[in-house]
Amino acid sequence: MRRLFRLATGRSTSDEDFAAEAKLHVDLRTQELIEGGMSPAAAREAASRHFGDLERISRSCREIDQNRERSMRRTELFQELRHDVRFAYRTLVRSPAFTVVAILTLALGIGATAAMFTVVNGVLLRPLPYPNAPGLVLVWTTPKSSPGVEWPFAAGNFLDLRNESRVLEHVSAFRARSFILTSDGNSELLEGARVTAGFFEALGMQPLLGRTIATEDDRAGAPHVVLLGYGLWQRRFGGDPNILGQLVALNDSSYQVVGVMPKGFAFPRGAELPSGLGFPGRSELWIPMAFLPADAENRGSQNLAVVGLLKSGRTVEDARADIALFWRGLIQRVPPLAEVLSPLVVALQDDATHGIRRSLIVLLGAVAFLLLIACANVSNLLLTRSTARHREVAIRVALGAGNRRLARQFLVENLLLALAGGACGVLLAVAGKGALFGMLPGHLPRVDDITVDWSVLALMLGIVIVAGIAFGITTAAHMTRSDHSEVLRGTGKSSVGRAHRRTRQGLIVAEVALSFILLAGAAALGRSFIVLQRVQSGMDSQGVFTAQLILPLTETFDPARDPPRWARFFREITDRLATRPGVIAAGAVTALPLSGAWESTGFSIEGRPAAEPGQTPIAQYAGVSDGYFRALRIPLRSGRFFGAEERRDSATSMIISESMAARYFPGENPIGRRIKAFFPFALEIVGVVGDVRQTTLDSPIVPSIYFPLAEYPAPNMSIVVRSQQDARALESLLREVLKEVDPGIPLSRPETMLDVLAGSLAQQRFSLILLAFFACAALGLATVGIYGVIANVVSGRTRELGIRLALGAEPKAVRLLVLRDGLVLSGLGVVIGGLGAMALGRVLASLVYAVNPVDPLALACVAVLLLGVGTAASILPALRAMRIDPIAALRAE
Amino acid sequence: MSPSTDLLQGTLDLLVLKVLARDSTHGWGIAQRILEVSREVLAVNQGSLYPALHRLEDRGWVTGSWGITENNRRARYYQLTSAGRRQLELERGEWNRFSGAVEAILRSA
Repeated sequence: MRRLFRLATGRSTSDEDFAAEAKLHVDLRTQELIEGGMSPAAAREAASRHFGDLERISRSCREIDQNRERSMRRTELFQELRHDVRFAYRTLVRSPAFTVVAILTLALGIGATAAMFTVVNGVLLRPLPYPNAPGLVLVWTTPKSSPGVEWPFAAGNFLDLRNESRVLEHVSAFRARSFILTSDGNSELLEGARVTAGFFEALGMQPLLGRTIATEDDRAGAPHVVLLGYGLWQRRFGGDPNILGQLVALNDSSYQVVGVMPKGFAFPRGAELPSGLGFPGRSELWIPMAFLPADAENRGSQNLAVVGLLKSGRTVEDARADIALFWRGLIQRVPPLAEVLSPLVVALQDDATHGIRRSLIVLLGAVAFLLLIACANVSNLLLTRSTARHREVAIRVALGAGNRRLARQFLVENLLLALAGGACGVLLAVAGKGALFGMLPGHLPRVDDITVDWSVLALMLGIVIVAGIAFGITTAAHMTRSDHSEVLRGTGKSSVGRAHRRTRQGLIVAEVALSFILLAGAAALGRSFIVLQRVQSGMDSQGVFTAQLILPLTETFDPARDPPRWARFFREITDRLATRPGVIAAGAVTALPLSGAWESTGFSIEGRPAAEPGQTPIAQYAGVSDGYFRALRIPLRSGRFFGAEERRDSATSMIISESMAARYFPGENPIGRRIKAFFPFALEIVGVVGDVRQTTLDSPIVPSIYFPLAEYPAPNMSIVVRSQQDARALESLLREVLKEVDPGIPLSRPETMLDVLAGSLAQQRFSLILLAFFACAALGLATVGIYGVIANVVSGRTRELGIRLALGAEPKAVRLLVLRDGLVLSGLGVVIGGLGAMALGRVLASLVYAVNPVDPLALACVAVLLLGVGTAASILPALRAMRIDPIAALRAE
Repeated sequence: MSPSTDLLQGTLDLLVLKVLARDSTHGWGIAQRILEVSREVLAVNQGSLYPALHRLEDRGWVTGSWGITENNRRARYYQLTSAGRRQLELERGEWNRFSGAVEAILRSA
């Protein structure tokens, strides 16, 4: 079926062929008839008649031929394509150095892009894993003193909102809750939430088994029911299909299991919600939240998170307007609210990612730069190679290959190259995923939702195809434009060179400029990170171990019984720890520094006029045991630490921080003064201690108040222990002591204080490491690129340089000439990159701490580095230029 | 007896292949040869013959090429390919089975 050559195709040939065949047939028949004795005319007439309808036969022959023609053309195209691919493969394999470098370069660019996009896709783009995700909004309050900070809702205000909201449906409240699950003598600490009816309807979640929380469950006095998470059901109950109706022991009471949620459901997930509210990383069980009649009047304890679903057709803006209206009505009824709080409505999807959105977008931009640089480098390589292949192309053109055929060949070749690079890159990304995710900050929202999915693969395939086509077009344009006959005669070398060289130099300038921007960004983040690490946390984390202990809350809270019991428990634990050998000090605190958990309160100083409305000063506060300051080595500035005086069941003292003393008692001695904060009565200041960064290292110092354990007992506190030995060894000690005091209490979040410190910098470290990696990769690629171009320029100018040397130019001058080329290119890149970095500096502003994102010194350093690299990369070619033998150079042409 | 022109579907292909197995020839030659060998029983209809030749060519069993007859006329000569030779064997076997079966029925019934 293979045709050696092709004649004009179509109807005419086939028809002519057949006409000739038919004519022969009729002629031979006529002759036969004449030989048989017929007259010539009669014979011809009989023969024609006998042959039949010429037109009809011709038509059926034509149809058969056309079918064959079509299938042949298809086969031919396919064969040509196969031939192209095979040829491309052979060409690529024949120059392994080029192919490997090009594929690795692309793999680096595409792999980094794939990995980064996977993270961005999982965290920012994919909808949250709840059916109603797009319509979910969170309703917060925000303090007038620091607008934008998300505070929870008071029960009374929530109940009013639930009744009055016109834009939201299934308005429901939820609150973090820890449980101690006891079965077979084992107790385990579980994190979950208390939720009102409507919570699951708002999210659109259906249970896997049973039912969710119904309206009759969240009434006061309703029977205890619980919903289990899938993981918990599998882990503790072996996935028992008859779990419904069984009783489980939680916090010393029994709860009936009414449902199991599907796999993966873990809302509320701490990283999606403001960090101060103590939500766990993943929730594993849910119980109803019951309101007592008194709760309806509770307007002051802001402690509920509120979620609602936009009614169909309504927007977040509508909800905002509606809730503002609701709030105005609320203020009429509860005037004191007006002073302190206003409502804040945020889409859940935005709230979940607002902390990291900016970093991820910047990193995605950075990786796009890296990808562009990688592509520029590969284009450069291709252009170098196309110069070397001019002869091959010229021969093929001379043998009759058309421009289209050649262009297709180049396209196939480059697509193949890009595909190989892309495949390696995606493999690299999948392989390196573990390393990247290991580096992700633990509190990155939505880490669970990150996977390499089809959209990642589709985007990569798109990039590969665009890159392949772009490479193909660049190469083909250069190839087909050149004068092939000159190339064959061996004189055309320099005639194609100029446009060529311009393109390549342009690519290099772009590479240097992009590298500059990446390096400048990395430098700014790096400086910011160093500054952050030098920030005094206010404590000495070395040698300190910490863990959280959570005492079970029973349904009925008894203020006369419970708080003293909590205080006794934590005092017992810390006292026992302190007597162990090697332990220097042990203490307990309600809000561990740098862990993101904080609470604030308004306060007033006795003997001073009351503050103007809305001007009430605010301080953050924590309850601490007497060993706390010594365990973290928080220095005493004046007065004393808590001691025996505070061990009585009701203490009357407090300790304030240095910044609080400086701000509210300037030039006075605060010791002995009395402050009314949180409690309805005033406490006496007995000591002033150093400032500690409570939330994060980069958050400002906030005035702080410490209450003694006896005055502010809490059911969950962090233990801090300092010892002379390795801090890690303290975990077993802590477990031992806990077992002595109460074997039923589990230990949660055990870690060294240094880990806590590192954890608070995790997000910055993540951004810095990635950006630094991208910048270094970019620098490496740019270096290789500059070297390639300069080396190529030198070999293109061998003749010219040879003449210069022959005419007596100093080899040194020739070297300078080449070095100048490298310097000019990198210099241009540096100037453009500098302008770019200044323009983009604003983007970085929110990612850096106490550092100018467009720091002139850093920019200067980057400029020097890049110019140095540009020069260094030109040294080898320059040395080669110096050593050109003028005679050999002239003869070679 | 007037020559029969109603050849069974598929039989014409077999006959053409068989004729070409001996020697390559043109359309007229094929028709003549079939007429001759069948002792004037099977006269091939030209309306079937030429489309059949094109079909066989399409399947790759025969190839056509222009040549010159002994009378110095341009004619399209058809030639059996090796695929055509295999096909001939196959169709011949099929035909034997088929005609044997018909024979058996005629003899017994």
